[in-house]
Amino acid sequence: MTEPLLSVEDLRVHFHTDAGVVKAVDGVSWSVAPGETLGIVGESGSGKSVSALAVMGLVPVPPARYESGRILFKGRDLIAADEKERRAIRGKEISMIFQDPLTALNPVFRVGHQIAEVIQAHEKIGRIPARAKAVELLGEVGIPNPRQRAREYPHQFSGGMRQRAMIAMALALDPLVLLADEPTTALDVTVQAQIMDLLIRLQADRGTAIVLITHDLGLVAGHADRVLVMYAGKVAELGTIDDVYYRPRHPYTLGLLNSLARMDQRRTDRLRPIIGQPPSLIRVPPGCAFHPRCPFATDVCRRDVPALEPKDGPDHLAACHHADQVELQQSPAAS
Amino acid sequence: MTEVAPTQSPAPAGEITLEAGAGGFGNVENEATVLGIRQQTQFGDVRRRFFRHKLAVVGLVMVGLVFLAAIASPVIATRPPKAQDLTNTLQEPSSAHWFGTDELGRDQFSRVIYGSRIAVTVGLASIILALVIGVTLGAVSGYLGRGWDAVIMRTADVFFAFPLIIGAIVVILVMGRGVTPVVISLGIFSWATIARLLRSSILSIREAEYVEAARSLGAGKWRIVTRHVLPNSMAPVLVYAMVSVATAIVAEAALSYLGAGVQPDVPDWGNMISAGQKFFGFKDYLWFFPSMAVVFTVLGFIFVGDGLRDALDPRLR
Amino acid sequence: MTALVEVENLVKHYPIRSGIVFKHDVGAVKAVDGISFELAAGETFAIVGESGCGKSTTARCVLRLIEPTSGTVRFDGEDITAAGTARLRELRREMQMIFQDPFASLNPRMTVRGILREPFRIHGLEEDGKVEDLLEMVGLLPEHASRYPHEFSGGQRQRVGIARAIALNPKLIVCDEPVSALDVSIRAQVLNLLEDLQKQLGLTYLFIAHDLSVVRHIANRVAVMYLGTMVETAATDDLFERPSHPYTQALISAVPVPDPNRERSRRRILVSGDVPSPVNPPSGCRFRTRCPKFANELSEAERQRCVDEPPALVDRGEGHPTACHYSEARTLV
Ligand SMILES: Nc1ncnc2c1ncn2[C@@H]1O[C@H](COP(=O)(O)OP(=O)(O)OP(=O)(O)O)[C@@H](O)[C@H]1O
Ligand SMILES: Nc1ncnc2c1ncn2[C@@H]1O[C@H](COP(=O)(O)OP(=O)(O)OP(=O)(O)O)[C@@H](O)[C@H]1O
Ligand code: SF4
Ligand code: SF4
Ligand SMILES: [Mg+2]
Ligand SMILES: [Mg+2]
Repeated sequence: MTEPLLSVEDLRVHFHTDAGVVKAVDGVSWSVAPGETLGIVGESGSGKSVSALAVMGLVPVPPARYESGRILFKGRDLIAADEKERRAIRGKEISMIFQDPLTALNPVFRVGHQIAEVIQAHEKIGRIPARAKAVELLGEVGIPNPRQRAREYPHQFSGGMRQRAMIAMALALDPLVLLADEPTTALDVTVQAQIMDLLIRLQADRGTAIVLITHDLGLVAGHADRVLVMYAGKVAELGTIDDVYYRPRHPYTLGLLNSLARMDQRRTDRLRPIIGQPPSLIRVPPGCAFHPRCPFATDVCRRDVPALEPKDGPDHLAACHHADQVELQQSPAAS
Repeated sequence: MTEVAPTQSPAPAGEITLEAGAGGFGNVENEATVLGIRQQTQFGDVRRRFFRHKLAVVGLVMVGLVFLAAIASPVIATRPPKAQDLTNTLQEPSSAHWFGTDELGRDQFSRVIYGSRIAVTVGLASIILALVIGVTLGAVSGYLGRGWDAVIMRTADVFFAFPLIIGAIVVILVMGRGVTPVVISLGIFSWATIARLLRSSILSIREAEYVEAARSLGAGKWRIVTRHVLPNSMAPVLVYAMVSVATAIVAEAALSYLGAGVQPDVPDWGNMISAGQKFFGFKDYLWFFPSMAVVFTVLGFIFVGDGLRDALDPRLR
Repeated sequence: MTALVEVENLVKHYPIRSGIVFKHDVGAVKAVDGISFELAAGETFAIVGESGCGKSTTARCVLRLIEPTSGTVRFDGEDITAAGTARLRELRREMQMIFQDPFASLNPRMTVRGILREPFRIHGLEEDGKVEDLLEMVGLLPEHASRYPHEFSGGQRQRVGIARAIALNPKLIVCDEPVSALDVSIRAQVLNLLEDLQKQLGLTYLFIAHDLSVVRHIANRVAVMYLGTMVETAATDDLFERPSHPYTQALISAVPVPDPNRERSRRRILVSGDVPSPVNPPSGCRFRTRCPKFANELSEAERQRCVDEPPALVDRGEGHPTACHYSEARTLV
């Protein structure tokens, strides 16, 4: 593995709300190298978005508090850095695309204008060349008639085109890291395929590091190099996609894979769901947060929080007291 | 949650039940699941949510005091409100006359107390009138739609466009001064907003999936309106109405102040402020106390309306 | 097996009205434009397709929650498009619906007990103990009855919706994306529940979905819709193993599967552009503006046919009906 470009170390982001402390991200570490795609999967509310927003400095403080951790970009800590330095990095060197492009695009400005503004905010460039670059970018992300489309407003774009426009905006400054938070969840599968294809091509051209946040294990299998599985604000498992899909070492990962319906093979049996439901992040169960739903749980699980440790090799980590037993179970993906 | 029973849900039996995972740890919104069993009526819930709201309770106490003053005016007042005492005119507030006396020697405290009667009567009666008109027309407009909708909403626009006070003055010019004309005039110039609120709320709720679910079960129009549409669309209307009582009280005082409200000799806050303003700058207590009475009452109703809004929202617990 | 539901030439156009004083129609959203299918008793028939292709409209027409513009829907041999109000009310006991959004489909001001009692009240039926039975059947506890919908998680709410749908012991349940809003682990629980109930109660499902994985798992037969028309229909494994319409092929190839090796070796058929507006669908074959076959494989003369002549949904030798002049089975998964 090459030297990581962006790494998050022991990040803890807690929300202090009236109902209690929401431990949205609780001791999460990951890193991503140039040209690599890291997938982050997990159920709704497991802390995927908050960990990406933390990198961008977009978590509202308060109610949020950074309890611990570092976010290192090229060796500089973004949490400790001063405002000016942070602004220079965020947006320019690290950019983000969201699930709902309408929240990121301003409805009252023309699309081309908005992209040009982003460019001008970070680069010394005139208005006219910035416009020209915006049109060029729109063409690059596959928008037909970019010159004319640049003069339109976001609502005149279809969902897929808006997502393309947002990608154009995110790529305007040639970022080194792209955080993609459910970039295709709101889109149809045929459009999702177009957008993913676009991201992969852009990545190949520019060597961008991509963090792909999604709840779709298929999308990660097809597009990521490594995957991080989150559960209740913590890392359950981290490894290459082959390790995690074919040799899962965490019962939650195994449970997720087992509960998936498969499009690519004949149905064999009923699905094998994980029992119960994810915990409230205000009242995370003691010990291993997964224990109320885990078929392997024992007393030690109810008592001690399992550490995230290397399992088969140095790059495959799992946080489970009984990881060796999980191995015995066949992963459904290994067919 | 007051009734926290430390019971863990019984162990589920059978495969399907097992998968439900009804026991165990719930979501944030699901905290109640873990906390135990509740047996409460919807009204109980509303009341509980209302009383949790501190400002609402303060508001309720304030409104309660005003009502008490209105009902028990003869007991609370130290003198008859119209009794003149020409030997004691324009007295500063003292232990004998808490709020002082006016130029005819009438006891200001007693007049303020009696004034609450007019305020409460006009405030409530005019809003009830507005509710009756507004809810009926709004419901017809929202649920029947088509021609009715167009006619009712254009009429509402006309009433809406009229400034409340000006409209009321016109009516009173025709009907003459007095409590009834004031109530009627305020009522007919307040229904338009209620009708509009209800209509738009019905329009959105009519399309809600749970209404469709009820239709798919075979529920008739009447059941859908009474069980699903109205309960879900009345909340904003009730909150608005509660706050409108405050508006009506201010409007009533304003009408009297302008000499278009109740008769001038009636003990009424607007009349008192109007009479007191002649002495602005040297006998300020004359307008100060009745003004405070208006402010006090209005704030009370606004606080209650605020609490009601939260209480009627079942998503807030 | 006999047909429980027969749909023939179903059309639903939503008129677009304009004008302030004098409203007049200026066009129509051709949401569903002439589709036919049958549901055998006890089977699960799935309709898949992308957003806006008319799946929900079809579902609501089948239940007559909206009035079809034309066409007939027969339930148990009876033409329900002609049924009067009273008859329709009786028919409602036989057919029910499960909605996509477990948040929006339950009245927030009613307790679960109120929600589950309603079907019995509407039809004047005995309701004693029924609520508890229903809760148990869908895997909830009796004490859940006194709670409000917002006190449940999404999965539990969906169970309440399912309990309401089975309350009157219907024959047909239309499931409109019943698991789309749920997380992976919860989705599997609900799918299993639906299967168990089907077996237990002998239900017939019309299952609407855009998730092909779920459809392959749960359906016996599948129909693919595109822009208000049906483009291909087949037994489930047949459809996934021998997709023959270019759109079905694109759809299947676009769905990622949770298997890294397989993903690496798969061929993706990318379609270009977006779905055209259902107000002015393309002439001839509605898929032609995005069809990769049309764009890359056909000669000028062959293309002309796609432009001029709407392809009928018939078997052209693939063993199941497709609506493409040049259909040809491919292996994609
Ligand atoms: N501003 C906030 N205030 C309080 N809690 C918050 C806030 N933002 C997020 N949370 C909580 O943090 C937790 C993690 O949220 P996050 O958005 O990261 O989840 P996610 O994994 O992205 O889920 P999804 O798949 O639904 O997007 C959730 O429990 C959420 O309720
Ligand atoms: N009440 C309505 N008035 C006008 N147009 C409508 C109405 N309901 C649906 N449509 C239109 O009809 C078309 C089909 O809608 P429908 O809801 O059936 O699609 P769908 O396949 O269920 O899509 P989704 O997957 O997004 O639910 C869409 O173009 C939609 O905009
Ligand atoms: S630590 Fe224990 S409870 Fe947690 S996942 Fe491992 S076996 Fe299950
Ligand atoms: S008929 Fe023509 S345009 Fe339509 S799907 Fe077939 S090849 Fe494509
Ligand atoms: Mg998220
Ligand atoms: Mg739909």
